[in-house]
Amino acid sequence: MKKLIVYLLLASSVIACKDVVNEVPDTPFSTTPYTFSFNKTVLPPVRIPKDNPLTQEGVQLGRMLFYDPILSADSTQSCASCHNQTDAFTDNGRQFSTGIRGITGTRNAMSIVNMMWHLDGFFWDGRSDALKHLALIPIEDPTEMDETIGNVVAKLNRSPMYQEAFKKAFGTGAIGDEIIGKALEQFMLTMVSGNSKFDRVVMLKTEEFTVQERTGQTIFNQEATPINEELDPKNPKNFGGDCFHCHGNSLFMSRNYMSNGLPNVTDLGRGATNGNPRDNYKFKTPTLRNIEKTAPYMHDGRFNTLEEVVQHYLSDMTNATANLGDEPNMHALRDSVYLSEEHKAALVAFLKTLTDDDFLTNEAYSNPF
Amino acid sequence: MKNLLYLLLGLLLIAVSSCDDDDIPVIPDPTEQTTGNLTITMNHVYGSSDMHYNQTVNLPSTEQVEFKRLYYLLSDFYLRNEAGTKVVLPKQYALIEDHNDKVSFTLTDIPFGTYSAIGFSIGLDSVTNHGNPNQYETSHPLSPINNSLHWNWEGGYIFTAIEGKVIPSNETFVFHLAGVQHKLDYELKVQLTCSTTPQYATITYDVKEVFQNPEIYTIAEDGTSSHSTTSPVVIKLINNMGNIMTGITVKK
Repeated sequence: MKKLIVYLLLASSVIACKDVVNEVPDTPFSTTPYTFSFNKTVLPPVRIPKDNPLTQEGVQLGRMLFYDPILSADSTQSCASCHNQTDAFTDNGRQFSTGIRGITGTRNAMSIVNMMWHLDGFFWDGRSDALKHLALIPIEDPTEMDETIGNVVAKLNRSPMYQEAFKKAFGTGAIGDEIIGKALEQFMLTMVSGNSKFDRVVMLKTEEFTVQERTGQTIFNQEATPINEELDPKNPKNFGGDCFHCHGNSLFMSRNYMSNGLPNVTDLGRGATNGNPRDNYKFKTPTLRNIEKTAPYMHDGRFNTLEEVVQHYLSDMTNATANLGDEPNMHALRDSVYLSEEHKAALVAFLKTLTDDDFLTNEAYSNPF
Repeated sequence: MKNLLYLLLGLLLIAVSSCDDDDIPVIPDPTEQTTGNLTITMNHVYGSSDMHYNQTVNLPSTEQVEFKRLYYLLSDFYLRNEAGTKVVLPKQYALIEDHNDKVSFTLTDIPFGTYSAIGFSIGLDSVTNHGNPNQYETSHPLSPINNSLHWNWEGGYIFTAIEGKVIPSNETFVFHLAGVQHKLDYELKVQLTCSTTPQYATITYDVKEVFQNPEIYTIAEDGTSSHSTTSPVVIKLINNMGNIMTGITVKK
């Protein structure tokens, strides 16, 4: 009877705080809250979905799922196959990822980093509203893992290891798609990058830029107008790069979907998702954090180097597929930016200060198997 | 044993009811309330017409343009009571994105009373303008990821962004106004009583006035962009913007 009383009391606390999980747990369970350790000066306040508070057990389960090829139809590919940590969770320098059937996709794999602060959707076209939903899409994509969620659920339910891990994280061994998505969401939310040289120089003031990096920072943050004379008295033709409008703030991204003047774009991007022709050829503005490690660049991976990217933004963009009259900031850039070779190199040097070695090597994000 | 079961049932009931904060909104006892709310909607017009985006509009200079975006930040709200004293509403901000139909916000913690005017600013004070933007949740009006108006660590926030293109040349204009010295203060006379009943007001912002009064702005002559805080372009626009708030109505 005493045991029954204890179980009833434990059960009551679980029922009472039902926000912890949606599913009714099989057995009493307790979890340990996950806490973040990044410097609050460097990044915005933590932002976690109310329906999926982070627990150490949930994060660990998500990490297992992320690295487990059990999610693919032939058990050869995991999430990590196309999102490799040392490449800031992009696909090993590949332009497009190849799925288990040998089919190649049409967009470059995006970096998984600082996901909790994204607003207005995920993926290049914003077609997913939440990480827990995003996490399941590649599983069923025929060009990626080409598995069904039903099969994944069945496989995981047959696994004693996952039965146990789901019980620890969500209090139930009845594994379903909702908690698979939530576990992956929890792990991806922990993937925070906030310890680059930029952070240590600009935010924490514990290091200093080189002269070249500082010049690059000025170019990055100045609008497309002549650079002040102190910076370059010999060459009044030099201009600011105007990068910060779209890659601003400490996250170096924006909530906006933008056209960036690329020629020969056939992918409608955001416009294909929401059906608004004004959003044709617009794509999510990606973060520049760890940009040195995420080549190739653009939604279609057309540029192999940062130098090529900079050169694109210095081009006249007269062959842009999108109407840049609808993107006033890009149009202004097209009209007026000029950078000397020295300033191009400085801009690239500044971009490389966004590399965060802690993020690229943090064991907490690595393969747990 | 029966008593023990009753005790357990009681504990269960307490536990269930104790964590229901999210499900049952707490309705304050009106007799204990001392402050109320005012929801404001910014109604953007262009002269005698509604404000439109992606449609051809004639500027006062007779140039034709299409507006694409209008963003701005509001702060320093206060109400003036009948004695003429300012009742300040500190640390309340609003991000307006008219082109995205984000035009309403709610001021809270307004002491009960009768007021004769409302005041506010476009822009921010110096401390707020240069504070670390990482202090704000991403949904906060001053979060750079939310408003796309932060000038990184160089110059604080862009207070107003007006962007579009000239017809038929397709040349774009980008007016980004910033700098604490260009914070614009407004006070609008209005009879308003704050009580337990939430109040609603509509403020009219005439975008046409940005380009006239006292001086007509001509894109071909004055330029397509404003980039420094001291350029004649900026001064002209800022001077014109003193007249943009053309009215306020309170929902009865």
